Amino acid sequence: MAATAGPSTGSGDVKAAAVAPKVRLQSGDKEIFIVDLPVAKMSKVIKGMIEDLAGEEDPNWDTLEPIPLSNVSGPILRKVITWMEHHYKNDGPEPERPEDDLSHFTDEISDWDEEYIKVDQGTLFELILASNYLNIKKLRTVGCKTVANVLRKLSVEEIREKYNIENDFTPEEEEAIRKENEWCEDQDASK
Amino acid sequence: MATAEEEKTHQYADREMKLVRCLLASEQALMNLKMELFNVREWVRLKPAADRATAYKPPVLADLPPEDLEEILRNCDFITRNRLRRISHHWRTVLGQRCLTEVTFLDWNAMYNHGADFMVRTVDWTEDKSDASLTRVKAVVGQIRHMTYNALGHGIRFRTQNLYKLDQCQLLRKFLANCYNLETLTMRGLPGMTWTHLTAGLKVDCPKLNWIYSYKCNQTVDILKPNYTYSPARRRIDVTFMAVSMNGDVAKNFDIASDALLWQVSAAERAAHVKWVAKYIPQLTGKALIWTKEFLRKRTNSSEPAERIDLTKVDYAALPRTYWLLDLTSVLIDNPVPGMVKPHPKFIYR
Repeated sequence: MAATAGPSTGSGDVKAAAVAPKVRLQSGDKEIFIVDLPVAKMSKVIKGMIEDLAGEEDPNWDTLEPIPLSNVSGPILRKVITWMEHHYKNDGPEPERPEDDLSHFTDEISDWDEEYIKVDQGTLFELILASNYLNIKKLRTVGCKTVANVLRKLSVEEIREKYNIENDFTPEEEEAIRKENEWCEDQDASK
Repeated sequence: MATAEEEKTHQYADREMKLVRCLLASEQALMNLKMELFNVREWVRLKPAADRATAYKPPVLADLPPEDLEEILRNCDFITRNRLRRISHHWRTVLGQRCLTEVTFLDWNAMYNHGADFMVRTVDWTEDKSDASLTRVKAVVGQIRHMTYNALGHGIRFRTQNLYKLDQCQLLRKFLANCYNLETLTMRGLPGMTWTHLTAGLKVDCPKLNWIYSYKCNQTVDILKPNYTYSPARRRIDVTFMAVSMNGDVAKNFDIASDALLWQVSAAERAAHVKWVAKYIPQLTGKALIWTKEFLRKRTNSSEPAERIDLTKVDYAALPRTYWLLDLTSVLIDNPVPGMVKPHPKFIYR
């Protein structure tokens, strides 16, 4: 069982300086990551587990069992921790938003996230799955938005080919849908 | 005030909840262990770790649970979502859910295609449509209840190309004419938008419209309350919105203020980029050089003819609008000069 220290926190960081306890996270392939407690708590699932493990009194964090995250592999967990570390250091507190606020769908991906998410397709889907499992909403949005941006640029046929999706429409059905959709098809592409 | 006994009961209840949660968690862990231990195939075919790593098959889109696909599609704009209904039965079903048909957003580039010819229109709402075609459009558009229009400041960028914020407002207004179930409209990144063009007669077409939110639209009040007035001249009810300007500075010097609003760059980033521009612009040749000289002549109101402008002596830092720097960056990206390094991403049009 290899104990791996998580990505180091900046020494000059005010937030990090105030944080002492560290928790251990165990990936599905039994790799251990040591992470700052508030960073780990960015995942709502880990937060819930920590609260359950900690009980009422302040526990001895060094002796606590590592938190098992069986659905996330080591390399992916390492990548997720990098994301959490960066956003913990650089993001302000989440502003309160009304329920019908759709701004997070229209916000652009930040430059850092854009660089971070430049991974192969399999890793991207693994990150989406991991962020869903760990309940990290912002990371999930970054992943989903990246896939959405790809979808936007491709034609229906290209999407089917890229993602290996079978066209299960009959020719008649497809024709009917094409007619239904003709107003939103790219007119230039059809020319 | 809770009595001591009540407090004790609460404490017991809390502890009991924690115990139940622990029990549930351990039960889940046991189940996982059981699955792992009694998976016969796993025992028989267990490969060494290195081999297992090579046998690893990365997930594909089909492996994602429905809620993840839903979230991906939620991040697609209205036009893309409708286009994707052609993919498969499964996608069509997911896209047919109310959470995806009733809540949506439109991007500025859903209306316009950013090509060499700036006037290429992806979706032409203005052309006359047959009744059947219009019915089909209404059937889809009519389901929208909450919509965001995302202009990203492009009305400002394209005004020299006759694609002004006004065009967007008018085009959007035509789109909204079909949204008879619309309850909330959010406008984003269209500074100085002409509310009257957007809202004239809107209450007639969208009788359920209650709220218009504006964000980065040079409106200092986020929520504008509709105020209905009867216009005898037009013989219909118009909606006017109480757009209270509380920030005089923004209103007085709108162009400069909107510049800062749209392209939030620090002084250091701007200075670094000015250096970048000043270094590479003088190396331009051919048509790009002619265009740049003419561009700078107009922007600096120079009385000299364009061909006499010395690009090495232009004070690029004095250009007041950030998007002029973005224009110059675009020219360099399209006509790269030898040894040119990448510009700062904030100064590239997206």
